[in-house]
Amino acid sequence: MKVEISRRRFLQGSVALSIVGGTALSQTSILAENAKKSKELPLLKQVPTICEMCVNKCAAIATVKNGIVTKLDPNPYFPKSRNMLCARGVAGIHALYDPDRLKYPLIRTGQRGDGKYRRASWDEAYAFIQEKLVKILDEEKDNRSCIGYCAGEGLAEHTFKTFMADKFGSSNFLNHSTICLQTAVSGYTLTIGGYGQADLENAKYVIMAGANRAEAILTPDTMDMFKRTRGRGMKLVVVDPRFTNSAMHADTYVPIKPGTDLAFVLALTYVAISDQIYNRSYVAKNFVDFDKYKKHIIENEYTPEWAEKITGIPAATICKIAHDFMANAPQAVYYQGRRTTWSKNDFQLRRAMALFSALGGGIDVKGGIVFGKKLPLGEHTTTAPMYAQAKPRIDKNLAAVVGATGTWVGWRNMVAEGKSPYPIRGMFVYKQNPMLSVPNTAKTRQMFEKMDLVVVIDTMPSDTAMMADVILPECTYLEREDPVQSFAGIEPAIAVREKAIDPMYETKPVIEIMRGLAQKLSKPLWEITKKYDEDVQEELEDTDEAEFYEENGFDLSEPFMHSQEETNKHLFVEKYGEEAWGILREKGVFYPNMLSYFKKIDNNTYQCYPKDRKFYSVLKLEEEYDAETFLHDLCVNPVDIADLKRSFNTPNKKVECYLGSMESRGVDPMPTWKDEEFVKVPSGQFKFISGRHAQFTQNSSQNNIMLLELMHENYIWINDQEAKALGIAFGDTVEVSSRVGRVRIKAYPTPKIVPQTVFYIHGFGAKSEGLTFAHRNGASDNEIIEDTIEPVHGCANMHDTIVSIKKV
Amino acid sequence: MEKINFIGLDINKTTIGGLLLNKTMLFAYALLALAAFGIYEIFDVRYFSAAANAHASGLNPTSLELKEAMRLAVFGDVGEVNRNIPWTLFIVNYMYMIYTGSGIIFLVALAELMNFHLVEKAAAGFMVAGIAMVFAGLFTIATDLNMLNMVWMVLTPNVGAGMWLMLPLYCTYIPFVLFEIYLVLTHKRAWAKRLALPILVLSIIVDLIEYYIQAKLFSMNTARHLWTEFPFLTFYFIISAFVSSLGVMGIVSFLAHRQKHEYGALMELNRKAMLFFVSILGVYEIFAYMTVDKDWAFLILFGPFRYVYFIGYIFLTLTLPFLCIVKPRKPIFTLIASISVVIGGYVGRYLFVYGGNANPMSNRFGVGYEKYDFYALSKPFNYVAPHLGEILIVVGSIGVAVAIYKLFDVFLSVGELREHH
Amino acid sequence: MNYAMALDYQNCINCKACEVACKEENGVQLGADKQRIWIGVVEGTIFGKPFINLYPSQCNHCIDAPCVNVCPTNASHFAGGGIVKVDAHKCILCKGCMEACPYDARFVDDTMVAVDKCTFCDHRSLVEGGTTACQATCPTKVRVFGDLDDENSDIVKLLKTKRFFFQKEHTGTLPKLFYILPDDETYAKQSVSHQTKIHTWDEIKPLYAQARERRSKEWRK
Repeated sequence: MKVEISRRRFLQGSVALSIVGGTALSQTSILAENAKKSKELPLLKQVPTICEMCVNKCAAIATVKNGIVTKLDPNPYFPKSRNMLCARGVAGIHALYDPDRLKYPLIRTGQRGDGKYRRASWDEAYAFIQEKLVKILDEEKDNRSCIGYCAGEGLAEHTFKTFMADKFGSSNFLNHSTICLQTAVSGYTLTIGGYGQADLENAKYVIMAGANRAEAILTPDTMDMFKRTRGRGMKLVVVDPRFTNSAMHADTYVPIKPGTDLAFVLALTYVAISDQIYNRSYVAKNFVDFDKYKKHIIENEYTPEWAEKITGIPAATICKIAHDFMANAPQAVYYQGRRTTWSKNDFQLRRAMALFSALGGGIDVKGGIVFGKKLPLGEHTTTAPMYAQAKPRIDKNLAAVVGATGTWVGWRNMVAEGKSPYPIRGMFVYKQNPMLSVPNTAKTRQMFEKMDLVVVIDTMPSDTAMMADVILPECTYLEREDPVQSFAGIEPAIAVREKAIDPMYETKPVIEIMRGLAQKLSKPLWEITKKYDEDVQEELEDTDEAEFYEENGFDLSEPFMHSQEETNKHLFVEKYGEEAWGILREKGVFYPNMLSYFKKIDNNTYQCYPKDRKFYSVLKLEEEYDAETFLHDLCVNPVDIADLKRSFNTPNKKVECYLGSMESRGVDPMPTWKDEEFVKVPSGQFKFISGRHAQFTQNSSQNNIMLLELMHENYIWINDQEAKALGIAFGDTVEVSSRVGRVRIKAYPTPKIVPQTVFYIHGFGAKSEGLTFAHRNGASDNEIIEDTIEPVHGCANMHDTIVSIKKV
Repeated sequence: MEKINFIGLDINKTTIGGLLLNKTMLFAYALLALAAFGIYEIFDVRYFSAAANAHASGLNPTSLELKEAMRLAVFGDVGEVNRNIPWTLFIVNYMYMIYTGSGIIFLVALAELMNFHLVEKAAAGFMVAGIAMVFAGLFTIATDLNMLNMVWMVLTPNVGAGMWLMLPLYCTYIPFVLFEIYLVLTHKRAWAKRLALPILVLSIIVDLIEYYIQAKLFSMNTARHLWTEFPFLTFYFIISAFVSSLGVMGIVSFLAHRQKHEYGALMELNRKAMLFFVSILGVYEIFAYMTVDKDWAFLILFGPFRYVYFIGYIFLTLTLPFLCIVKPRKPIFTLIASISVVIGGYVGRYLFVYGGNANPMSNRFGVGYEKYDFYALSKPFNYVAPHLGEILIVVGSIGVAVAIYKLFDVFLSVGELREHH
Repeated sequence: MNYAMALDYQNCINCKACEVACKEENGVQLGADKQRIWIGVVEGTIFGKPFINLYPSQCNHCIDAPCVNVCPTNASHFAGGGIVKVDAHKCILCKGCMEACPYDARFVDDTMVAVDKCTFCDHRSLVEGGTTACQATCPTKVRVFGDLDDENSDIVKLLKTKRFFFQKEHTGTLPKLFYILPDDETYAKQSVSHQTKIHTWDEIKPLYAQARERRSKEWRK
């Protein structure tokens, strides 16, 4: 949703009006439509939906028999998910019918954290929130930012954000990016103009460092690459402290000491530069400040021999990899990776990776990193009111560039340690579980304990829900229609999530929750604003209150008044028309020419876009070329396409080697290895790293019995030689302790992990008693991960923790 | 004692108390009570286990029983049958009881053929003991099977299957043996005499067929090489059964005939027969494992089963008895040998069944055993200890044998020595 | 019709999507042991370097199925197309079939008190364009289900172009799970043993056709 009005800070005084979008339907007819539940359930129907068991958003088809969802099958029309549904996708039924699901609103009766709640009606819950919120805002003199809010990723995240950011007016927003891939996205974007998509369908040489596509499934990367490994077109090099399931497919597996990747990449760059094997014409046409970077690499002597001492990778291997990469370039990719920040130098690492990839010329070319295309959708606008009293976010100085999504660890620590410039009185949590997902769980608990109002909107009674004052139950993704989404890529498409069954129990989709909450809060909060906001008071001297209230967006419920389906129709029909809307509703997916492009070749292969219609090279070319034919001509050598001079989405329109803007903020303008940043492992201790298995999505699937059946608890990986020395055998319970906490977990001694390193997967060890299957099952990684942050965005360093292991 | 004459049999007149409340029957009741408890346990686990399937939560998402069933399915223990060890103590007991019981009957028939008159005199008692054991074995199997669907054995039979052939086999065998016992007990000696030889020959043929079908039951299981590659399985079953049968006959002789003057001679005959068959079995054991698939042979001879094999089986079934009976001595030595082979024979059957299952089916390529779970150890050896329910039923099956023998004995005095023909 | 499945097992990433899809599609009993299909994992080290081999496994629907041979009530039988199935209402739990199967494909379903196993999803795979739940859901498209008698089926077209092998061929049950040998020599060598025989479709076709003739009288319609 596009917000027409800009934030308070950037304007002086006068109020700018915005365009109010959407058709004006009467309130009653919308509510009546939602309230009417059809009495006749058709015996069998197939409903297109979009999976939300992880972030991939695969298109699926739900089979509904007699009002019960019995199976989820893949939807072959969606190009990105390549006609598949992974273990979690199929197990979505057991998230829908989870016996522990939140069924009705709950209000806390005991102490915060002891899990005692009473059942309440929606009205009661809203009234409770209203009462507390009014009191808090009154005390804080309408400083809207005194209520923080955080959201987990999802198709409906935006709906929640619209309420809290645009309507309620708090600037303290947090989401997963700083405990996830912020540095990777930022590193690539600032260097090559976008995070891009690795074209693994055509790449000939791929270095995958720390990314584990066999177990951290990403569409379509996972689907494409493992059909081409083992000598079938893609040479795969996996660089990882663990021999993961991806390493199993690799042509070369390179064990590496965790935290030393930057040294590895700098050494690769050194070899590429000193041996002059990089794509010189590409660099000449498309790089800026390359001479600075070249000098920097050579003068710092980032040789393979130097890297060998740090990483443990033989110098000869590094040389060979660099040579093989460049020999296969431009169809060679140093895979971006998509996971949490590892250490302090992560941003620089991702920049170095992007630069190395770009040295081969494989950016914006088939077989390299491409930017793809995004199909447009209409815009739904809303009016954001201006709150003069709303202060800016509290954590903006904790790192060089703190964006709109803040720094979770930094923000949380400020609140927990009482260092916030103004009091943070409460938090609204949507679809996130900070108690399990943010490092140093003890501090997160402290943060919540300092608050006066915690509202959690979730589907399960997670550990975070157990810290709430009010728990509002959202329905699962199978019970709601969500905003239609356009998926960018080589084969762009638009998909919609349709409702398979009506919400169960007393749950509601977040749009309805926001509507109800907003309707309850609008007028009382307006009173507070009138009381303290001088700008508003000034305006009201000349204007009619009711008019001002409406026109300036102080009616908080305004963006939520239409049904999602209506909003979707409006956004979509605006661009593609009614007929296309019909196709979208029937198939769940749409892209221009879909019906003529889409073909079934056999049960395993579908064609969504013909080869010559896919979008590989999209950047504006600076040379005179008939881009349309040239880029779509299959006979043209990718090397020739690579060589073209193009315009990148960066400030200098080129690949940026030197970030001057960063320098002024105290961040190295070029990737530099700093010994003092590297966390060394003391003898007898271990560095802790975390990751994923293909059967679980972080902690959201921890109570799914169908998935727990596949692996019912997490185990700690420890090198088998070291385990033997410590007398630890398979299945022994060990205690893992770090500076911030300790856990107990079963041991899995294995040769598949390098020495002085231990690992266990994220997402277990819940303490909430409401989760029957997940309760105290396995161990939580964030209980022991130290809460250090990297300096660029304040992302949490997830792999810098030192732990001790002992058998109990 | 007063006797009632009925179809040529002298049936003892007895009181209900004398029939049902004598010491032996009370002992049998105690064992049967254990069996009943075992049956309750097993049926509870088999029919009333908290089992859930993947479709259940869609139908009843809020059910607390279902939630507990799902939790047990993943984190606990559900169900009776372990996928890796389908045949367990029930089959061991079935094998032992039936083979040994049939062995007794077979031996008696052979003895008559070879004119061992002493055995003929005690034939009734031995044969009843034999048939009682057969019933005990069938009782064990009845509790192991899902009897609710037994009708399909008759409606849609698979006549080539060893398992199915059990049905016509025992439907024929049991009446036939009962008829043989009748012939031994009947007054109508002239008529009995005429039938004696043909019945005897038929008896031996039926016994051979029985052991053949039993061997077929095991040798049709392509996957279990201990059973498919054991040389001349029919022969092995017969020999090993005879050893235990002679043990049972020794014990029965002790219990029923020790006060009689024929006791010494009977035991001496038993000693010689046992010596003969123990020696053959000994030779067999030496050569059998040379032909069996080494994966199984190793597990038994050098693997986790080795103590059970050498101490529980070889020592008790071969070594100790041999030492006791190699020279003619007092009957007590034969008795010790008898008890030893009875226990050792049981261990032998246990090794046969559990050993056959011990090599996991997950060894597919010779590149190692599979595991099905990320966090698991692949196992080169399968073993699941018997449940309490199984053990109780097995112990209780002894009660079945004892009760049947006693019933026959109370009515027909089978424990007496009779002049045959 | 003679149904079989080919497995390009080198694509497998052990994500277990197939295991879950099978359970959800067929309402299989919950429990780690109660798998109709599973991914067998063989791990080890060669000169200190770890390796992992994955073998998607399930009932092989053998042409000479020993489980059908030993079943006393014909509960275990051949359905149309040679798919081995179990009539739960006839099962007397003698467990003979579980003992006879070399592939560990069978287990007892406690909700039905009968033996259960893979059925090649014959309620959805036999229609035009249909396939098994496991093939449909697989992320890396390991599986190809089809009719060996149909020259134009995906499976026959695949088998004609590749070499393949069977698990435990020495048991002589004529299994119909075709493991496609990877073209890459190194990986192929690492994932099979010395005893494994490699076949081509020309070799196998007559053998299987013959056996099929012999047994198809027992195949129920």
